[in-house]
Amino acid sequence: MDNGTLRQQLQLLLKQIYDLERLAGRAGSGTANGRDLVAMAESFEKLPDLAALMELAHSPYLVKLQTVPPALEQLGQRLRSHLVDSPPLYLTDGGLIREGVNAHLDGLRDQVSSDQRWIASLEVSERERTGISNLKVGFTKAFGYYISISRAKSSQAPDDYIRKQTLTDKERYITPELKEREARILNAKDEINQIEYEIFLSLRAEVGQEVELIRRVAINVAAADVLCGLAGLAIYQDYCQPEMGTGRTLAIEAVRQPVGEQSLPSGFFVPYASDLGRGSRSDQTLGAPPIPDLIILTGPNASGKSCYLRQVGLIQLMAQVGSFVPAKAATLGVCDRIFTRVGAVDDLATGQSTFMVEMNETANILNHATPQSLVLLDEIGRGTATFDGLSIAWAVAEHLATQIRARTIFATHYHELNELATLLENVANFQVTVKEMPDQIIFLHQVQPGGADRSYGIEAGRLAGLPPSVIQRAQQVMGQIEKHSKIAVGLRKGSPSTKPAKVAEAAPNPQLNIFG
Amino acid sequence: MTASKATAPDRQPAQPPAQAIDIPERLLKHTVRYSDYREVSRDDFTPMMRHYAEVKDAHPYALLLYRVGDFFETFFQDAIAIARELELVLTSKDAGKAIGRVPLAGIPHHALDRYCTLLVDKGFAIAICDQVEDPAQAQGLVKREVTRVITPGTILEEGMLTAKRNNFLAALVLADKHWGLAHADVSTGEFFTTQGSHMDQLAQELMRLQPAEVLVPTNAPDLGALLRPGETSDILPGGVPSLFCYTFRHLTAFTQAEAKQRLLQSYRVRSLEGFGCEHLPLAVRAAGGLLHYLEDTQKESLAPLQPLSTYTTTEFLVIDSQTRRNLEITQTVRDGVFHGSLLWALDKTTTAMGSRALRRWLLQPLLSVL
Repeated sequence: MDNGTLRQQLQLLLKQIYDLERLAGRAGSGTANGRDLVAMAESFEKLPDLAALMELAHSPYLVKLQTVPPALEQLGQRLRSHLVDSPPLYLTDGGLIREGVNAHLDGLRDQVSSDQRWIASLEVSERERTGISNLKVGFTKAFGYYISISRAKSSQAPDDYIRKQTLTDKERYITPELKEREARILNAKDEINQIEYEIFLSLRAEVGQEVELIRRVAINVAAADVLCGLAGLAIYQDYCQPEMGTGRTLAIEAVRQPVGEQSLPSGFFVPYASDLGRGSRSDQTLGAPPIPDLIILTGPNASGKSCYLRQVGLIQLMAQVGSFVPAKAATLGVCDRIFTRVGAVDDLATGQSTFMVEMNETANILNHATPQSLVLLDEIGRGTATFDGLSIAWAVAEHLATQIRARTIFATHYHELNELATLLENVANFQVTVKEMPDQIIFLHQVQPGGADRSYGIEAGRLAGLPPSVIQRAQQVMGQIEKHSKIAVGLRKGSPSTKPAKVAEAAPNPQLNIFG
Repeated sequence: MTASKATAPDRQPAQPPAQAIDIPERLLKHTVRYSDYREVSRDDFTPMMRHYAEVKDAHPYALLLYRVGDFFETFFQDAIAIARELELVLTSKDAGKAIGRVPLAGIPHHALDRYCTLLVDKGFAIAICDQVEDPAQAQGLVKREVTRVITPGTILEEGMLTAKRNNFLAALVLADKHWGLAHADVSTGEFFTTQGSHMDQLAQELMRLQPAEVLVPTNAPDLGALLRPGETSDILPGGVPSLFCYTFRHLTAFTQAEAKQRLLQSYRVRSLEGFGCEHLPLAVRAAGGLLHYLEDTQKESLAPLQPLSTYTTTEFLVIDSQTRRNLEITQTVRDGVFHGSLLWALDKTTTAMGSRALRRWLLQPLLSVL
């Protein structure tokens, strides 16, 4: 699919193929009109060209398109040869069927047109015969064909004219022959419409017979369309082919945003930052640094942690859909489920608070995740008091790493969680780095090993335009808190090998310490 | 006339208060005395109204549009509903000497398609009861029959469908903690069924499919009208998200014996082994019930569905609704719009078929990688 011209040809061809799935449905249920059948025939005609393009394809969907079912080709030809190119919307008013399809139909049409020619020439011949220069031949729906003569000249009307209608300034006449021709035209037209409708119905029934076959082809056309679209995207946006395996590896290099290709400023280079899950495999070479199941990702506000989490999820998803992925290189293990918990919004509809939504979703993850799952958590425990939140975050991370052993990225502002890495061997710390200048910070949007020790939340607030007095006061308060806080001590006390519940119990201690 | 007006209210003392009807004053031309056709004794009806009530009985889930002359008329609760939804004037019609005037709202016959589109879009099901003989030649009451039933999940009309996404009809069977779920797209013929054992799995599966209509079997005698998104009912089982249209169906077609028989007959096969659901009773019951509904509403015009295919939710990468939302797969978190979603970014397809296929793939990615 990396053949550009081939792709363009394919796309050009696909553009001319109509929605076969639904057209087939309408034909099968007897609601398709003439235009639907013509659209279908046009689509069938494109199938041989499509097959030619697919000659070298390997994908199972595309291989099936290499041969065109002869039944469809014939059906397309039949529809084409029977139906006019742009049939009217209504089925019972005629004008659907081509000439040369039905001899009787053609005969009737010839007769109608010769009668109509006769009527058309009637005006001229009658003017000559009667010498009335403003004699007209007209037609109304209620009245049929008539000859009209102005009142002034009405006395000159010949004897064979039968007066039928008197208007303010003219008289309308008919002649027996005119009425006879008219009746013939109308009868023939009725018959024509009827025959055309019957031919149409039998054509539609023929299509209805092939619904299953058409839909089978349609599925493959749809797949070709999707693959072609994804291939084009992969080339224009420079995606890479992910290496898929059954292992637990999750290694992505240089992740980018798939959506809108608004790639993050400065490229967002991620040097194998997402190596997850190899640590627990037995095939790991001895002596190599253990590669973790769970990554604690820290970094300043607005540094792109959430974005990064989302990208990892999207890349895993895209890879399992069969698409290339927006990265320089990627090695991914197939996962059975992707869990995400990122910034919540109040669920106003059900009346649940932000924190309850967060906890419900977290509970759902802990109850259903398996070692094969990919879990992306963003700021668990944010929606409540600092120490409650931190304790919950710690316990959740620990449970995921020790009990479930799912591949997890845990983004947080609780730098205290970095302690987990020293206690558990399948946990690693990564951070989104910043460059610290004398009185401001620059976001580098890079993910590197190691834990961040500051959130730069106050910096972010300053960038967002909080008043200087507020910033100053915040820095003051933070200095005080940092001096007195003993959170880290409290966390170390709970041994990670014990049940997570115990760790949660340990949490109140620092809370007492700080206020005590 | 005066006598009938005086007696009628006595007959039906339990009238709902007028404000329950919830229609702006400007649309209300008469006091509404009957807001349900079942409140009125059938014997007092005019012959036409009696026929109306019979047809309505047979299609409880739908709004009944009843052809009278140049209009499609609706009466009682249906009239109140369409007056409210379509901003039509609610007037009244004489329904019999002892009854007096009953609510009426009508739409001109030439505007039928337009109004149908609006109503289906709002989540209503519609039954169209047309005159099937020439009124000029009719003796007595003109013969009328239901000629078309349109429900949110059974649309075939091009103008009512969204080209780029499937329009699924689902059917649900619950037994203890287990469930069976079948879904079909009538316009494309896709037909799937599955079963599982956790209610939250069921909710996830429904959220993934986003069905336009869900069938639920019940043995409640009064099936009631189709539940539109957000409406609740005592019959609706707990744990089922209320954001879809639900249609209640009699349990009979959803029983194991009936459902299986219907599938065997419809596909002219001897066993369900080939469909992979021979040993999945709940999946079979859901699929059979769904098929019965299609036969019931589509009558002879039903295009054959593709062979039933059985799947299990574990064959695919599970993406729950919260992840679907967080990863912004089909719509953005902030505004809930398509623009800016993953599907929007990836959809470079040129046909509607391709677009629908990509959406399906993204919401149900494979576990096996080639």
